[in-house]
Amino acid sequence: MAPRAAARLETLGFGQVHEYRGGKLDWMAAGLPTEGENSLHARAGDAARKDVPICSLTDRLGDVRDRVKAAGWDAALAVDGEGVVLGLLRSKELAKDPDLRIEQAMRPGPSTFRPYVSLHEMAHFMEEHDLESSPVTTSDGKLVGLLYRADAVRLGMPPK
Amino acid sequence: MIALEVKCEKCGKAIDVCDMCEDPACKHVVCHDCLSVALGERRPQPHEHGG
Repeated sequence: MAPRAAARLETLGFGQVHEYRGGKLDWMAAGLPTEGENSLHARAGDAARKDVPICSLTDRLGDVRDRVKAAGWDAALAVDGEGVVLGLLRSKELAKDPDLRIEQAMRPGPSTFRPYVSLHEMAHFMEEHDLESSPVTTSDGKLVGLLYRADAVRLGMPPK
Repeated sequence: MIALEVKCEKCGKAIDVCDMCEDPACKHVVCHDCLSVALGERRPQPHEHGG
């Protein structure tokens, strides 16, 4: 909560008031609960697939590709020990030389989106830019899941 | 050094690549600032003079 809002609540007699220094957007980006009319809209974090395959920078691409395909996926994310997203592997990257290490094959530092972003807006941008999938992360870069355009369109756009 | 080769479709700022798709051939280039505002990730900021 903002300092001024916290101070006002204290003047109204509330005793357990805390300032959340990260701000409201950071709160929502961490997937923490919200209320109000806007909280009812579908968001990227709701539709992002949490079970997306992950790998580390030093993994062998061929091994990761086999694991990804066996699990029925066409993408994977490279993360560090804390779950911070370091790279993205879509079909194009997964099709490279199997003896490459992940850090040699991945798209480094991919564009990521916060979980609270409106699915409607994400669907619009993903269609406009012909993006099949986009990683969703918290403000500090930790993986939430992979959002597929098909899911964003299905859940974020009203039927025509 | 990064070559600033494309311009944001919304604000005209020169950037190296579209922030949404990172496709060098993107036809709807958008910069990080404009994309963040459009997606509600941050609020538009007024100029320093308050304009």
